Formats: sequence, C-alpha cells, structure tokens
Amino acid sequence: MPFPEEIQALRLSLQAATLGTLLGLPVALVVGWLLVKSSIPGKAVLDTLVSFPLVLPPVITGYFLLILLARNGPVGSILYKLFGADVLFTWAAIGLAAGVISLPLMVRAIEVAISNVDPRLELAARSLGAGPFRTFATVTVPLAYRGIIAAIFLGFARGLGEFGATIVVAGNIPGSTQTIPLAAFTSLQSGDDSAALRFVGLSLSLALVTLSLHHLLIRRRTSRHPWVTY
Amino acid sequence: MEALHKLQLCDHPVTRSEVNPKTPTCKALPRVCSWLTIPALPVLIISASLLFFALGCSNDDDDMLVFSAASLRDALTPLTETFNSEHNKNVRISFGGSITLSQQLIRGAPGDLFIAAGKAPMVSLNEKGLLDPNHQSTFLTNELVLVVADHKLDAREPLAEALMNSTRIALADPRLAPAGQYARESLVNLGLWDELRSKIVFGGDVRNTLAYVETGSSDAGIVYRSDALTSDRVRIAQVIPQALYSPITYPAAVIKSSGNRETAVEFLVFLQQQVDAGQFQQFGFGIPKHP
Amino acid sequence: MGDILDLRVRKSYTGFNLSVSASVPSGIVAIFGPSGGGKTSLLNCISGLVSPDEGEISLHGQILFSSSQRINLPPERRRIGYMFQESLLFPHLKVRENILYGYNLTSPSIRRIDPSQLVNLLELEPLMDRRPENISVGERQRVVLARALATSPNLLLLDEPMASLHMGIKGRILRYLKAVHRDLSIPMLYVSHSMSEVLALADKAIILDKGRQVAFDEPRKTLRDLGTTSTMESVSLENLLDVEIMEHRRSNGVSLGMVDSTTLILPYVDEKVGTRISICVPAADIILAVRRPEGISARNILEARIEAIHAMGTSILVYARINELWLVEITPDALTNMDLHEGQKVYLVIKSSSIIPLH
Repeated sequence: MPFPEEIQALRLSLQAATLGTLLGLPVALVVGWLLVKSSIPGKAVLDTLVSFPLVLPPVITGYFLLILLARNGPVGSILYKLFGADVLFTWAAIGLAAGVISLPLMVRAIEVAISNVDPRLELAARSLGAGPFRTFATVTVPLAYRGIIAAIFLGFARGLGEFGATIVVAGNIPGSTQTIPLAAFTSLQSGDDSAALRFVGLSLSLALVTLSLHHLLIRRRTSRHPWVTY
Repeated sequence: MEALHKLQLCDHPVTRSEVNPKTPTCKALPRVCSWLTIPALPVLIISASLLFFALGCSNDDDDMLVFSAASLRDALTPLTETFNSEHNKNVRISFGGSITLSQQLIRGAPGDLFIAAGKAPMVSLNEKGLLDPNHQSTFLTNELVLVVADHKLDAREPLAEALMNSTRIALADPRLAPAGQYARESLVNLGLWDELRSKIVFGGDVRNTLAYVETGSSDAGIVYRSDALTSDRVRIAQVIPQALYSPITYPAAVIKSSGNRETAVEFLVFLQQQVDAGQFQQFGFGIPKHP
Repeated sequence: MGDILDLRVRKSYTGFNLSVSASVPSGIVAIFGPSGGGKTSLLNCISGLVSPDEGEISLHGQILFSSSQRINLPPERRRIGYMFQESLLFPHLKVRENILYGYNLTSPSIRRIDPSQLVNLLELEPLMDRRPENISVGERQRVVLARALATSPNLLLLDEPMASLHMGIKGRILRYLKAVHRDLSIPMLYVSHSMSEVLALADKAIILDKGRQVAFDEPRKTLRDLGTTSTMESVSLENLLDVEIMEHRRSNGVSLGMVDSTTLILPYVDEKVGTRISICVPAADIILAVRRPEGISARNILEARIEAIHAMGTSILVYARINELWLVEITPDALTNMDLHEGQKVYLVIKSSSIIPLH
C-alpha cells in the first residue's frame, strides 16, 4: 500500500474523531437539555465547567486528562479494571481528548437548536401525556435535528484537528497515536517538506468531504418529501 | 347538509390494533416512532462508544514498540525493516527526545524497548523500577559537532568565534533531549553560555534541531555527528572537543512490564550483532570501548 | 350536574394577580374576559403547565395541585386535554400520527374514545396522510381537537379555539364542539373573548378581569351584571343563531329562513331546503326603531321587546327578546334621544347583507 504513514494517520484521526463525537453527543444532548429546559440549581456552574475546554489552552485540558486517566488516577483506575488496559497513549485516549475538547462546541450548537424549537409544542406534548424525557426525544430532538447534525459535524471536525491535548495524553507514536495533525507537525519539525505537503493535502480533502457531507444532510428538501425544517 | 355522526363512548377499552390497521408500526427514522426513540437511540450511541473504546484501549499484541532517541532514526529504520522481514515480526519505532520518551514511559506508554541517547533518562526509569534488569546494555557512542548550512561560513573559524558570529544557534532542548544537555554543558564549559543565551533556539529533539539549520532558520546548530552525516544540506563546521562534555553513550533496556519481551530481547540481540558488524559506524556512531 | 372541578388558584404575574375561586360543574363552562386578563394563565394552571403560587385544584375528587400538601401532578398525569389557541400540531408528524400521539400514550384500560370515530365525526379521513403545513387553518383546528380527545380526557380545556378562524368556519367548529360535548359527555372549559360564543355554548361563565374573578354565574346574568364595567370593552358582540332554510329566491339573491319563529331574509345560501345552518348578525349592525319603519331597503323588520339596557364601555347594549334574546349595540346619544326603556316594544331592523351565513 503506498503512503502507509499517511493511511495510518488518516485511520487514527478518523477513529479518534468518531469516538470523540460518539462519546460527546449523548453528553452534549443531556447537558444541552439541562441548560435550556430544566430548572436545576447550579446551571451556571455546569455551563462554566462545560466551557472550560473551549477557553483553556488544549494542552492544559490535556494535562487534566492526563491526571484523570493515569493508571492510578480516578478515571484511569476504573477503566483499567473494565478493559484491562491503559488508556493513555492509545487512540482511545485521543478519542476521549477529542470528545472533551469538542464538547463545548457541541453543547452550544445543541443549545441553540433546542431553544429554537417552539416550547409550546413541548407543552402540547406534555398535555397529551408525554413526560419530559419522551417529549424531548419525540418532539424536541426531531425538530432540532438540523442543529444536532451541525453539532455532530462541528464536534467531528474539531476532533480531527485536535493537537495540544492529543500530544499530551497520547504522545506521538506513529501507527498508534500519530494523528494527521501530529504527523504534519513531525514532518514540519524534521524538515520533511514533501511529507508535510502530503498531510496538508490530506487535511484539505478531509475538510472538503466533511463539509460536503454536512451540506448534503441538512439541505432543504423540496417538493418530493416536504418536511418542516427548523 | 353533512350528517354529524353520533359518537359513542366505548364500554370496553379500545386497543390500538382495533383502531387503525393502516398505521405503520414503525418507519426507519426514529422521529416517527415515539416508543422506539426513547430507549433505542441513546443505547445505540452508548454501546457504539463502548465498543470503540474497548477497541481503542486494546494493545496490539503482534507489535513490538521501540522508543528510541531521535538521533538513531536513519540508522535504525532500515535495520528494523531487515529484522522484521527476517524474523517475521512487526517492530515499530517511536522516535523522540530521550527525556520526552522516558517521561511517556513513566506515564505508562506502551513501549517495550527503550534506547536513550544518554544515561540520565535510563537511570530515572531504573529508579522507578521500570526496567528489566537482565537486559540492559550500552551499545553506541557519539560525538557533538557544530553544523552550519552547507553554503555558509568559513570552516576554518575557531569554535568560539564561529559561535559568537552566528545570529541564531539551534540546540536540542536540554529538558527534552540529552543532545541539548551535552550541548549546554559544552557551552557552559566554554564560558559562552550566558552570552549566547539570547541567540539560542531550542528544538524538541536533535532532528528538529538539525532541521532548523537545514531550513536556514538558524545559521548554526549543535547536533551529533551522526545527525550531521544524514543531511547534505548541512556540513560540519567544527567538532566540539570531547573534553567539554560528558561522554555520549546509548544505553538500551527492555521495559519490565512489556507484553512482548521475547521479541524485545531478540531485537536487542540483533542490534548488538549489527553494532559488532560495524553497521552503525557508517552513520557516524562510535562503539563503546568497554563492553 | 355535580361539581367536578374545584379551583382555588392564586398566582402573581407582572402586571396582574390571578385569583380565582370556583367549583366548576360538568358541562361547558366559559372563561370570559378581555385579553390579557389571565384566562390563558388559568387554563395553564389547571392543565399543570404552570404552577400556581398557592391554592388547590382537584378534578373528580383527585387532587391535581395543592400548595399546602405539596402536591403537584405533572401535566402528563392529569388526563386533561388542551386545545391551544394556535394549532400546535407537530410539524414533523402527519395528521394521523399527530392524532395518535396522545392516544398511544394512554393506557389501554383507560381508553374510552375510538380515534377512528373521532376521524369520522370531524371529517378528517381525507387529511390523514397530510402534513400540518399542507392543510387549512380550519382543518388544523379539527385535527387538534381530535388529537386532544384521543387521550380520552376527563376534562377538555379550550383556549379561544376559534380565534384564528374566519367567520365562515366558526359555526362549523361550533357544531363539532357541541356534538363532541353531547356525545362524549366531556366537560369543557372554554376560554373566549367573544360574547356570542359564550352565549351560544356555555352553561356557566367565569368572568376574569386583570386576573380577578369578577363573576361566576349563568352567562346572561353575568353579562348583565357587568354591564358598566370596563371588563366589557374589548369583547365582540355578535348574535349567533340557527336558521332553517325554507325557500330560495335565487334570482333576487336571497334565501328565506326560519329563525326564532320569525322569517328572516338572508343572502342566498347554496343549501337544500330544510337544512339548518348557523348565521351571525353583528350587534352593531342592527338598527333599533320605536316605530315600524317604511320605505327602507332593509329586508328584515322584527318585532321585539326590550328586556334590559346596559352601558358597556362606550356603547349601550340593548337586550331585546323575540323568543331568543338578541343583542343590539347603539350609541349613548341614541339612547338619550330615543328615550328607550325596559319592556318597550321595538323593531329590530336588519339588512340581509348584514347577515353572515356560517358554513
């Protein structure tokens, strides 16, 4: 296979970004619902916590993750018991880092999407016998689907490009944790310009594909399948 | 006039199947089926994530991972390919500054074999009990040189003057790579460290440092002789006198917790054979005078 | 008809305080008053979408809300249907799925109403696979009604359901509502600021003005008592009546109908003889005369007797009875100049073109 390093970096980037988005989406949905629809105390605290990865330098976020995920750390020890393996320096760690870093973006996008759904529709559902969770799942989410899709793509794109936290929690091991941004950086650092250019090309293509997919999914349907799109 | 049909209250409970046989029980999209969306989608997402996660955490058992000082890149890469094809294994190498790598190993990175460009990183691993005591060796040495971009500078300038006349000097970061420590040591011993500080630029490992000189962002750099030989975009301006720095040695050790110890030991033996066969000298490395 | 709904509700809003205390009987009870008077807020409290600051609400003896006992049943457990002012049909679901939404959430042991019968009654069959955006406003209100009733509710709340409908379909919806109430015996709480709707439908009326409960009695009594208050200022006055078509004179552009045991000349309606339709005569379009006028173009001159005269904001409302009670709106100037009094025989002069047939 030609360009094995590039293929590996691509595979790792995609795996990590997918994992990050998969992990982040339910969390973002829950947090989005809590922040927009619920009346729990301490919303401001939740909002701040969730915003940290956006405001802190990614390397610092990576540092927090390092402490949490170390084998004797609070989260790492549980994961070690569950999976019998270290999380750090694997692409699972990159996925986690990607998920944490993209979380604030996904939460914001989902918050906007949810609040654009007419709350009276939710009241109507409640009056028909739907509890809060069922209302959210059967009325709010379907009507907010465009915003949710945007959140997914946003999270995925951010996860693809994550560097600072990745390099802290996963190092830069070719074949195991060297994602596209890390590989590009290494090529640049070692003066391998042709490799760097290949990674530039790869990143651009990825970006194009991601954007086109997004477009396809949320374009307004015309007469054949009329939907109300929010 | 339209007749208003009389509605009747049912005496018995009305079930769904009686009501509307035309209603589809489910469609593909969850937005139609209220009862399907509730448990299914989040469960789907969570199980997919867990699956991914488990996959990600697992270590690849057929691989053996070597953490190696960056200066060994050109020498080690072709030799590893030979080893892989002859012994039918899949040895991979992660190159970097030796201190960077040792820190990763301390944090649990899955390296099986560690080759450092200096004793200190190896010692710190040993102190933490991470090394297999039975399989350690020192198998290479190296020298420090001053390099400049190929077309620049008069090679006959004495070292001190060459350094003082440079606008920017590249070194490896002493916190991350032994090459930087050796370089700093020699500059300190020359009495020039304080004066030159403002001109110094740090690279993450010795290859980065070389790249700075290659690309012209620095006009001079201090790297290993072996590094200087890999690039035709730089030439050696001066050899740094050995007296100015501690001897450069390359210890290698198997990591105690390694899951691929057999292969690691095999590889170590293979490397020693290559050293003895003089395979590393062409790259500018030396052999330790004592075994 | 015993009392089924016990209400004692207090809630502060910006601008007014909601304060209602009533025992509501089964049947159709109207909540009437000017806009912004707290009518919708009251419905929201009863349905559980909003919590009162203080009070008790119980339906059929079951406590839905009690501030003293800290009970607050969530809306989905109250079994109260709600027809909102704007049709809040789920845009991402077809009509069929909208109607079945609540039905599917109702436990089978409680279901008493068959959705397919609702579909027949409200004539929704041709719409079942359409989406809400593709049906007319009147059709949407019928779907909303069907959707709310499909949960077999113990009480139906209606928040000005005819507000967004034009005159032509109001009568039809009104007929549907009456049929639903008659056949299903579902008690209804009907919010409106249209006096004629209240008079046409309700057995009792709660009058709310700026959140305060001002009256709770039979509609005519309450309206009479409130004559001089500002409560009445923003209400619309129409006479809604049923007419049986007797004869057509198509070439003259009119039809003849029997209403309130008198003959009325209406604009031509395309219905068979013998059909009953609803008509609307705005109170302000009726001219009051103390002598039978002659030589005028108006085709209807009906003899009536004044039963009551009340001031209403800046107008005067005259209640005149033929057999039914008619509302006539005149200016205070007319009142003083005509020297009208209770018991007086008067003539109601109505142009055919002022009569609006409702389909």
